Amino acid sequence: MCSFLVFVASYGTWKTRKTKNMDGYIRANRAAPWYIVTLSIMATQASAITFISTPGQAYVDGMRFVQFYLGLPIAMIILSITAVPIFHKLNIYTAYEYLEKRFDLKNRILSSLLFLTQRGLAAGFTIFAPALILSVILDLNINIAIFTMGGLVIIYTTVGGSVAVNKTHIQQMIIIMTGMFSAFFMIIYLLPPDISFRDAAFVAGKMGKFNTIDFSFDLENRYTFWTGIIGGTFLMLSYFGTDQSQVQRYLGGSSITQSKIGLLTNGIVKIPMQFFILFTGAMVFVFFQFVTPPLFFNPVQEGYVKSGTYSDEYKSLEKKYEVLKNEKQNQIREMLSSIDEKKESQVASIEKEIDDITKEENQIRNEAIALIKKTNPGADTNDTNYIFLTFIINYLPIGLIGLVLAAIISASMSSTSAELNALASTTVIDIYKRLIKKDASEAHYLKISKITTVLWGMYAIAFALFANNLGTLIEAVNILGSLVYGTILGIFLVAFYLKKIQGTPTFIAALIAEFVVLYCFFYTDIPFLWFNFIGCALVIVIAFILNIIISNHKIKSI
Amino acid sequence: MANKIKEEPNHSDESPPILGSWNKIYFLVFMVLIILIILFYIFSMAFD
Repeated sequence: MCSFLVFVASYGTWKTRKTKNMDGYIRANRAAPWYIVTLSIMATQASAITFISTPGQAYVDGMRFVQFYLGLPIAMIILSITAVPIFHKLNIYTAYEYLEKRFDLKNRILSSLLFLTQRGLAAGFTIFAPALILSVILDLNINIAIFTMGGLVIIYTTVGGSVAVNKTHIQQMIIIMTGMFSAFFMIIYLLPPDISFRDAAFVAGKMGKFNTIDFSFDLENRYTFWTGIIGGTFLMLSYFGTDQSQVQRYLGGSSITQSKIGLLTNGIVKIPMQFFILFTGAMVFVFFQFVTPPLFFNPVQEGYVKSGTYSDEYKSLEKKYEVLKNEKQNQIREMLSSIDEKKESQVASIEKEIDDITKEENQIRNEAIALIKKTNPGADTNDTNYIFLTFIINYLPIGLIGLVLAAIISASMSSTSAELNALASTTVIDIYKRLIKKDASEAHYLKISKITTVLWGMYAIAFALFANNLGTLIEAVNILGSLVYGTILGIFLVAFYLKKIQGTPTFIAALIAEFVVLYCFFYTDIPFLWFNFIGCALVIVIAFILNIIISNHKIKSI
Repeated sequence: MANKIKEEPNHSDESPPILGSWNKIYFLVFMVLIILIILFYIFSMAFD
């Protein structure tokens, strides 16, 4: 694993050390064929958070998170029709350059700043996630792990820019897919001999983990078909159409056709990939029905309580948990026999008993968490992010542990590098070059780009040090995005489709929309996926109304 | 004053490498989505 880390950083740095101009640093010389665009888009989006947190999400909440991605193909189609031709034709370096041409400077700066704020913080998350792994495996202080991970990515991204990002994405995606497939097949192999793959699927299904499509109209339910199709479409439109970390990936396409095919291929491939990762999490759940898992998956916090004042109480809870788990195993085997014998009423009755046992297990877990909190009041009681890690470290053979961890760390490096490159590009092109130093040489802007890459890397590291207290990572990252994406998307949709609306009404509408979204986040229980739709809709509607008012006012003034 | 951006020739009417038109490609992607939703639903029901 360490060899791989050093290899990727060294390879990326060495192969791209001759990147000498802004076109190479930001757009990888616009030479990428469609499959590089696809791989790069996927590698940018699939961070370590995807691989650590998503299986845990399925373990706890079932596979319904897959609905989050249902809007992706629709978004890819829309972007292929609108954004890709416009961005290529304008020969721009950042998505926000387009906004100045369409509106005015203030819209460009507002969008840039919203992007920089959100993406800078998100980059902190993507550094934190693999640092978590290193700190658990190598028994390292997590802060040291954060500095190590962040530092390595900063090195090759600073030296090679977008070319380095693209080149390393290829190796990283190969490792990622190899690692995940290996982990999956090992899970199936490690199931008890009397439990087939089909049995495992029934266990997961009967215990509510295969809740992939939910057609209910429940506005308080985070993941349904409707939040995925509507909210998800808007989120993906915004992420891929207005977030520079993704726009930069397909701006590097060698032609409009290559960029379009790259985006559309991502739209087809991403959903099955996420399904597979969630399914892996569901199989980890099944595995832990036949092997008693730890009462609490965070080994550090569990270690504290077991060596503290409440050690005896905790161990007593562990014994009760083991007894319940054994009882549940027997019930599960009986249920599988009843399924084979097609005794449906018996299956339903056993399912009810399994549910009752699960409730007792949850009660014991809550008591254990209370003890953890008493031992360490500052402890994070959400252990979802440690579930897949626990399985990898304790149950995979040594060689595979290294491969899977290399995959997870690759995913982190691939996302972080793209994010840092995008942050630097936006800072230099939209802020520095546009407002501060307009007519410097190419070499000067390249140097500033490298400096800002380092500075953003340091900023991300600083936020990573804070990220430990923010719950399930995969949700935190997407919640953060949803706070600004809707507003930015609204600005771009007005720009693309509502040609009569001017810059000032759009700008004011964006400010109001952002205020409303933040209010909803802090003071309401609206599921976060709706923020994208709310922000976007508000920008469009308010801009439309304000444009009429301002136009009428101008006519009256004349 | 808007920042000047050098425009490139419009290549947006290039044909795709397969199927002959972009609308057919978009339809294909959309149909893949529909098929995936149906498959996921069947999958959920099959093991519930």
